[in-house]
Amino acid sequence: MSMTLFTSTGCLRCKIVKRFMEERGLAYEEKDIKADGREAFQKFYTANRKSVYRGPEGIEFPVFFDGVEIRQGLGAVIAYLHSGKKLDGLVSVGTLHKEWVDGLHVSGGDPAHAQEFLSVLRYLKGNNMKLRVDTNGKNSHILRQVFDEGLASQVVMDVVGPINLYGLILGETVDAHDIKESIALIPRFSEYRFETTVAPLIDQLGKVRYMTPREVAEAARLIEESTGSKKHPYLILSFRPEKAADPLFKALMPITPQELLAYRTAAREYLVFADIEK
Amino acid sequence: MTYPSVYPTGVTIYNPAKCWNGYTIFQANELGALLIDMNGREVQLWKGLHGFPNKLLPGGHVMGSLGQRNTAYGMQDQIDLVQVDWEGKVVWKFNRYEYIEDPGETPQWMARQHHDYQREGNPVGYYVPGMDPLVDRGNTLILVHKNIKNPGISEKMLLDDTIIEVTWDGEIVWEWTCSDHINEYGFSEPAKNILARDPNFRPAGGGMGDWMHINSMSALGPNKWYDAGDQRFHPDNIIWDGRETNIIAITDKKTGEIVWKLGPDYDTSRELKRMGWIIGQHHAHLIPRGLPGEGNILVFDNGGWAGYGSPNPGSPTGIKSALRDYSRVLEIDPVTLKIIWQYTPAEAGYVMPYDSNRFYSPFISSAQRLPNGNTLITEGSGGRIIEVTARHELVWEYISPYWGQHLNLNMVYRSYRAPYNWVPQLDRPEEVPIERIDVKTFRVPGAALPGRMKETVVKGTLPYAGGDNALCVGQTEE
Amino acid sequence: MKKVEELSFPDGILYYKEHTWAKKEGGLIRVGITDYAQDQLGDIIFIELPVIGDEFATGNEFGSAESPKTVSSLYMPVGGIIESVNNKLEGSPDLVNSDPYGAGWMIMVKPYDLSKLAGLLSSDGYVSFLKE
Repeated sequence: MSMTLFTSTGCLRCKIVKRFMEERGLAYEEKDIKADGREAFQKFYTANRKSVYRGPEGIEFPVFFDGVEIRQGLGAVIAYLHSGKKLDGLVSVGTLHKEWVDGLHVSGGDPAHAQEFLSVLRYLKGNNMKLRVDTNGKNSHILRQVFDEGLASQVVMDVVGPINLYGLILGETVDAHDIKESIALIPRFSEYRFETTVAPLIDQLGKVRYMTPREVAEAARLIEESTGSKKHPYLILSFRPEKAADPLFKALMPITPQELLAYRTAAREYLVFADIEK
Repeated sequence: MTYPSVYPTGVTIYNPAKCWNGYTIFQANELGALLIDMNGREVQLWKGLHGFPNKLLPGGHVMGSLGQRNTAYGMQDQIDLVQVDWEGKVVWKFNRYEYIEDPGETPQWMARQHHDYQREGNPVGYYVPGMDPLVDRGNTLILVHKNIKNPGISEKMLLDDTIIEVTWDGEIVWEWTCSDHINEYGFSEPAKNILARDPNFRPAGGGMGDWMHINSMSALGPNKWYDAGDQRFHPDNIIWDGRETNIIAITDKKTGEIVWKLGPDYDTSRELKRMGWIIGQHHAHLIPRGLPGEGNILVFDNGGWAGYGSPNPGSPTGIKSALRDYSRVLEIDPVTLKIIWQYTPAEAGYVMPYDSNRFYSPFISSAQRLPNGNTLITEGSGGRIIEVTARHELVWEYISPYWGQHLNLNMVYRSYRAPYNWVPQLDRPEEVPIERIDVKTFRVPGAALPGRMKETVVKGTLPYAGGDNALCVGQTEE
Repeated sequence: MKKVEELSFPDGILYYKEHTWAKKEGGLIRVGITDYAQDQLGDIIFIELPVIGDEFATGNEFGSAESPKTVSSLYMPVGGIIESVNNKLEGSPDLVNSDPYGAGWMIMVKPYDLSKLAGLLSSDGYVSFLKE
């Protein structure tokens, strides 16, 4: 199985991946898309364009291809080289650049591979990268280890909703204790914030609707009660229907910035610094 | 300006037949919200009530604030916006805009209100026949502060201006932040450079750039431009002005975009050159339907020092680059940009440019159109409030007698004239004319009365002639 | 990316404000993207083109051009029916970068109304438009 790494001249993150492969003795072919790899990338792209990820700034490099799997970005490529598909979900392609690596989600994959996940984080941090770690509360034990080892420069927790809606919105069963443990741990990181997306859900009557301001306020209350403080950075985000997988949600009208003000007012009862995303 | 050391305060001129008679309310420096009648009788003082500004509401209610945030940490942040009845009871209050924790101060929610607010029912914030502001219900537009960083403007922390609309119950239902629209203001490259370097940096709270300094905000209300199909003048749209930038603009309430604007530069078109620079202005608003001049913009064009531009002798770095040593009150047609009416030192009877600075307030100030076509002008820095007719005759003048202890000024930020029937608690006051005293013969006790003890004729002298080119500097052309 | 002065906008063809060009060839119109558009895109790695027989009105999207940096929509300078497409671009989309007015042509269009060409910009007109 021959491995190809598409890079771009001067891309420092590509250099870190190359060093990783050389350290492990992994044979690969490098194709610099700005130099003699241009044609090879064009052919690869033509054959695989539906699977190539584009971020806000264009295609995320390096692009790794082993004939079967495509992985992009520093974090996701290292994770795949390290552990194959085991870390899928825990590490995905990120959007941050320069010295930041994101796409690291402690709740996003199989907790059985926690040690390998932490190993990847250690490697990235050892290469002077700053890591932004995300969680929605699940797998608090992994978050605890991230904290104990000082691996994250920034942590963002998506508090999905009040506990009684948590499982419904995520579409899976959750352990309330696990969520609360995560919430309590978050403020101990040096740079952190909480977020809640005003998500759509299907209620008991089978009706599709957005979370109400009261429900978002209950999520804020969950944070206040689990941490014992009203003073945390807390961002209320609007849902993007066009990015929804479920066609029922895709058909929804987005919430306007003015409607979000009611959510902020409600949340501020419990978290005084609540604000809405611009 | 040339103020004598000794001069009368209170009402000094009053022609009841030509005035639009009523009560006048203003914030008396470090005293409270003061309500006076046309002879200057202080019919009510809401003692200790702050106001930035104070406004009278029907029923003898007043709006203002209970206090200001410690200026070591905030700049011009009123803690709340309140409505108080005739007996001093707070009947409405808003303060839940931002949770503030200042060192050594009680943590609390604050409105961070400054410079203006508007209660539903009346678009412009002063008396218009048939458009009374609501007193027991309705929404309120409030001009507030927010601290933000916007690298597109400057690397420094900014004190940004935000307009919010709150319901009677204190729910925020609309919010507009002026720095979001930085690309719509049309700053020149020199302006952007100095703005980035010095966004009007003030020392409060560790330092913040009061870059735009919005000091006036009101709705357009129904108007002839919108009736004729010009969407920019939708009645819900909000007109505001930035004192530091010399900008007067209209924001579309639905989209947040700037749909009409004057400034920041006044040399970019023939119409603006004819208008001349508007500098450090206050109280720009649309005269509402129901008042003479409806549909025109009325503004107190202070002069003084304001604007971001290129360095010049008056402005070594380019901040506050436009200068002028007199004020103008302008009534402008917003479509043709022609000046329809004005009150400048010339109309006030001063010879320009020598005496121009006798009508001059470099900061604060306001202008209110009255139902009979008169205009109430607050020439704020000297505490002078005047009423002039459409033909510029001075028919009422009042000088505030209240100098502050912290600040040795008898300044009046803004004053408003309201009808007598807005205060049902009082009987209609007696209106006593005050003739204008001839200052040439007016003497204080102890000073010699007019008249010479010896008058000597010198033969051969020529009579005093006037004529052009008599003085060291030329007279301003009409 | 280059400045407008460094790019090429030959006379003899007409230009559309969405950065496509149109060249009259008998009763048909040949369409491609301008030197400015290919320079803005960077190395083009894929061109998505319509099929013969597709119809598009003026200003409608007929395809897209993709580079590592971005995906750009391509807009019809004049409405009509697709007569033929440049199949060489499938294997060599870089032809659009190297020869945008020649070998990098994209589609041949049978226009609904040939006189609509008069609404397009000349070379000088397009350059002025770019400088606004």
